[in-house]
This record gives sequence, C-alpha cells and structure tokens, in this order.
Amino acid sequence: MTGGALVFMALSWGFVIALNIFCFLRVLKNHK
Amino acid sequence: MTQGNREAWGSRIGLILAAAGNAIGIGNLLRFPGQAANNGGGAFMIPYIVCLLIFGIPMMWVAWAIGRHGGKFGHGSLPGMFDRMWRSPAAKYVGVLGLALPFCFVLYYTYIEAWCMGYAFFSLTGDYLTTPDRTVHLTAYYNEFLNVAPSSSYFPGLLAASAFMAVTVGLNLFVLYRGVAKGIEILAKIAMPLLFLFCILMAVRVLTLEGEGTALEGLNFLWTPDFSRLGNFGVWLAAAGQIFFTLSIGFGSLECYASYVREDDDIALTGLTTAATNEFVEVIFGGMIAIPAAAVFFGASEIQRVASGGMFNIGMISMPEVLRAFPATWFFGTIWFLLLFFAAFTSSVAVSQPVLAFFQDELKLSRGKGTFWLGLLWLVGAVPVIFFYRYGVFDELDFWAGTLGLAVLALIEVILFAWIFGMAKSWAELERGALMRIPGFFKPIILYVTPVALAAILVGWVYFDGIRGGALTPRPRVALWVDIPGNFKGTLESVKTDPADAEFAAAFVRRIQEQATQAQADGRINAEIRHSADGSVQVLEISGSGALVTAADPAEFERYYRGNGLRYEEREAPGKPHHAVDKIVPIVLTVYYTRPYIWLGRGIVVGAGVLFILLIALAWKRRSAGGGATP
Repeated sequence: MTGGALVFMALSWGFVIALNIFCFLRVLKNHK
Repeated sequence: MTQGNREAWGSRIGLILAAAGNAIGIGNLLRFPGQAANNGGGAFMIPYIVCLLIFGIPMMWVAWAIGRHGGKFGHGSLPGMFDRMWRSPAAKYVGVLGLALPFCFVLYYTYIEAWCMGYAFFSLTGDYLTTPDRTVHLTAYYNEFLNVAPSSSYFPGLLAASAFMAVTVGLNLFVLYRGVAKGIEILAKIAMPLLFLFCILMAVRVLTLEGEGTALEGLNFLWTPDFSRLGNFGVWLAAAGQIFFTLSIGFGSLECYASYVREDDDIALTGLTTAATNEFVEVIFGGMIAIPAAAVFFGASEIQRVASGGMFNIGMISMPEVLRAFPATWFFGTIWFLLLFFAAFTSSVAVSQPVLAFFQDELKLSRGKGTFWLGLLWLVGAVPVIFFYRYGVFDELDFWAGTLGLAVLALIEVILFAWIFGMAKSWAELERGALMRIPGFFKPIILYVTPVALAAILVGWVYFDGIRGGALTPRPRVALWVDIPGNFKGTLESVKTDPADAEFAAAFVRRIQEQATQAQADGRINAEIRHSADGSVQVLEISGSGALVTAADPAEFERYYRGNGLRYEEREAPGKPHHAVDKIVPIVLTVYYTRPYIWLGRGIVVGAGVLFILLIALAWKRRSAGGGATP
C-alpha cells in the first residue's frame, strides 16, 4: 500500500474506533 | 416512564443494537466502498466526516429528541409527534411523510432483502456454480432472477423472486407482531452479533485469498487519496448522500424507536453510540470486503470497473463471481448473503414500525390487527415492485420515497426542532437524562448549518439526479442480452470500439427509445450474430417485433452492435485467460416502454400519502369526538 492510502485508512479507522471506545465505555459505565 | 400501556425497550444495549440495526443496512457494505472509490478514495473521508459532524450526528439527536418527546404523549409516529411540537392543525398532516415515505421505502427495500435471502439459498445449494454441464453467467442469472432478461436459462419467471419476497415480508411481519421488546429487540440481539461475526469471517476470507491481484491492492485503490476531487461539488454531494442513507435519516424510524424510551432515559449517548456502531461497520468492514475481493479476483486493473458498476453489481454479481472461484462457496457465499440479509432485515423492520405504531397509537388497533393491515398493504404494494421491476417502478419509488422525500422530511424535522419548537426547549429535551455532555457548538450547527446543508443536498439531488440524471423525465429502457445464455460457456466481453461506432450505437438507442415512445409499446429485436476469432461481428438473421418492427435493419444493427464493443470469448479452463472464438450467438435487444409504470410508481407514493392523510384525519376526528382536541 502507498503511504497516502495507509495514512488515510489509519486515520479513518482511528476516528471510528475512538468514537466507539468513547461511546461504549460510557454505556458500560452507566449499564443498569 | 411511558404513557399508558405503550411498550418499552427491555434494556439499553437492546435499544442500541436495535437502533444500530436500523442504521446498518446493505449500503454500509456495498454503497460505501463504491462511493469512496469513485469519489477521491481516501480523500472522500474528508467530506464524509465533515458531513457526519455537521448534519449526520446532529440529525441523529434531532430524531431521537423528537421521538422521545412524542413517546411521552403516546405517539410513535411523526403525525402525533409533530402535532405535539407545533401547535398548528397542519402539523399532523405534515407528519404524513413519516408514514408514506417509510411505507413506500419498505416496498422495494424488502425486495432487495428477498434477493439476499434468495442468493443465500442459491449459495447453499450451489445453484450459481458453473459445472461441466451448466454454465452460469452471473449477470444473466441476476437479470433473469428479476425478469429483466427473461431468457429462461436459470429461472422460468418471477416465481423464485416472488416466493422469497413473500417469505421476507412474512418474517418482517412476524417480528413486528411480536412487539418491540419481544420481537424487534430479540431480533437485534440475535442478528447484530451474527452480523459482526459474518463481517469478520468475510474480511478474513477476503484478506487471505490469492488470485490475479491481492487484497492489499484493493485497499490501496480504495484508500489512496485524490485531493484534486475535493473541489468537485459532486464529491461533497456523494459524501452527504452516503451519510444521509447510512444513518437512516428522514425515515421516521429512529423517532419511532426513541418513542419507546422512558421519559428521563438518555438519548444523547444512545444516539451517538448508534451512529458510532454504524460507522464502525461502514468504514472498517465496508472497506475491507467487496473492493479487496474484487482486486483479488479481477486484478488491480479491473477494480475501477467493478467499483463504478453500482452496489448491486458489486454485491450480487462481482462478489459471487469471486466467491465461486474459490473453495467452500456454499459456506462463504451463504455467509456473505446472510450478512446482507441480516443487515437489511433489521433495517426493514425498523422502517415498518412507524406505520404499525400509527395503527396502534392513533387508530387504536391491536398489534395483531395493525400487523394484519400493514401486511395487506405491504403485499399489495409489493406486487408492482416485483412484476414491473424492469419497467422502473422500483427505481421510481427509490427516487421519490428513498431519496428526495427523505431530504424533505429531514429538513422539515430540523426546522421544526430548532425554529418552531424552539432551540431552548429542544436542547433541554435533548439533554434530559443525558449520560454525556453535548458540546455547545452543536447548537449553532443545528440552528443554521444543518438546515442549510440539508437544503443544499435537496437542491443537489433535484438537479443532479432529477434534472441532469433524467429521473424526472424517464425514457424507455433498453436491455441487450444473450438469449439462453446457459447454452454458452463463453461470455460477451467489452472491448474498445471505434468512437464513431460508439456514437452511432448511442444514437441508435435514442432512436429506438423514440420509436417505443411513439408506439407506446415495448419492442424487441432478435438477431443471430456470428462472432469471429478476429473480433469482427456479422448479423446473419434479424427480425423485429412490437415497436421495433422497422428497426430490424441488419447493417444498422451490426454497426450498433460493433459500437457496443462486445466480443464473444471463452477460456479453455478455469484460471486460463479469455480468448475470442468463432461462435454464432442469438442476441436479444428489448426496449421497455416505461411511462405508464413510472406513473404507477409515482401513483403509489401519492396514493400512500393520500391514504395516510385520510387515516390521520380519521384518527384525530375520533379523538375530538372522544372529548380531547389532541391525544
């Protein structure tokens, strides 16, 4: 893979993974 | 707290899974990779994430807040919800969009769901595998399944498609009949983990395949940024459209799901988590399966052709083509189509629920009776979608109910939320019970940026799809296919053609479209064409019928056919390259006169609107007769 493709894939994946970690940690913290 | 005996979700995780199931559909796995590949690759993610932030996530919160607010007063559909937010007699009638649009949407969306179920079955039975006795051309197979090219090599008619549609609608109705907690929530708890498991299995499968190219070449193609495309309005419109469809904005379904949330329960975090889960499946798995698979099988040079072929081409033709070239097709083919089926199933159930909720909440029907009437309307409405698919009824519903209508409804919702109900009250509604602090900058975004963005999308779609794309002035459809393709082990491959011949072919198509329009009838040309190993073609016999009796001129048809750049090719054995051979192939060209059916499609949308307006009037009349001006 080229550097540009790798960077954009990593950034996009990083964004959605971070968003999911943020959300699910909070959901689990408030799980009832 | 919920009002009266309205249902409620059993758990927050059940609600998140159900709402994520609503948002995650086949578009995540098929539409996203095609859109990204054709609109700047990695650079597509810049407008995509901007659109997610300026109207995707804000509209999720708007929908959840409208829904929970309506649910507090016992309303699960938009007429009642709008009536509670806007003290105008017109409010409930504006809410009709939240019934007519999802109803028209499920009529054709469940047909796609039925195709996925059908193909899962065909994968399991090995029906589309090519054997020494039977050659299966997947494009012809798909076109025959839908009766676009009725040449009877694989399917005798629409029996299979209709049967799978009946089963699909039946399954949807069964889940709806079971109710919110015992039907939809249980479905989500089963289907969503399976969906993730199937995604992982498919991704591992694709990444470990070896063929003409590698999966990495596919990922490289998909993610290589082309910044020059960012100045193009069309790319931004494509990104906005993808965010719009992927989050299921403008259907009234999120609002309906939110109406079953208790008054003081969180919607801010739940809404954001739904969007996050959807994005996970879309950006990670959507990019890892279909395009890399195409790269492995077709090679890096062919990925562009596959990616620009449209989402059904990727899902129903290219993917089975790839999967059947490798061992265990029965397993991975079934997994692939079950994955698409579950993605669609959880969405179609969600989009149907507002109509059932309307029957229950406003017309006071029991769930059983409501499901019965919904099922009846569904089956009646599905008949033209199935039987007149080739005449464009499906596409017409998709354009009006599944595209333009959604943007109109979303725009109305955000204006109602921010400007009519008022930002102060709306924000307080959104924040009540919130398990996260919503950043304050989303207030001006919802007030100003989201409505402008939605209006721009609407104008863009009217202009690009409606006016320039021809959706507002449809023409007769032309289909060209090999008659009885199962008799030939080779295929018609596209080759470069003389530009003058290509221009002649385009003019020829326009002429036969005009002939069909003037005759107000379908037409057909049957031709026996000799394909030579040197690539030349010759019409041996030709005859025309219907609107094309006079169009069957051998010299003209020969030039038209040359202009299409088709060459008959065979390969000696699997894995060997194609080469042109001498063959006489019966070719059929059909023109379908679509106008009456296009108006039928529009009539279904308008008819659904009128029917629901009458039912809204009836419900509110009954209420006022019962002693209350509003429920």
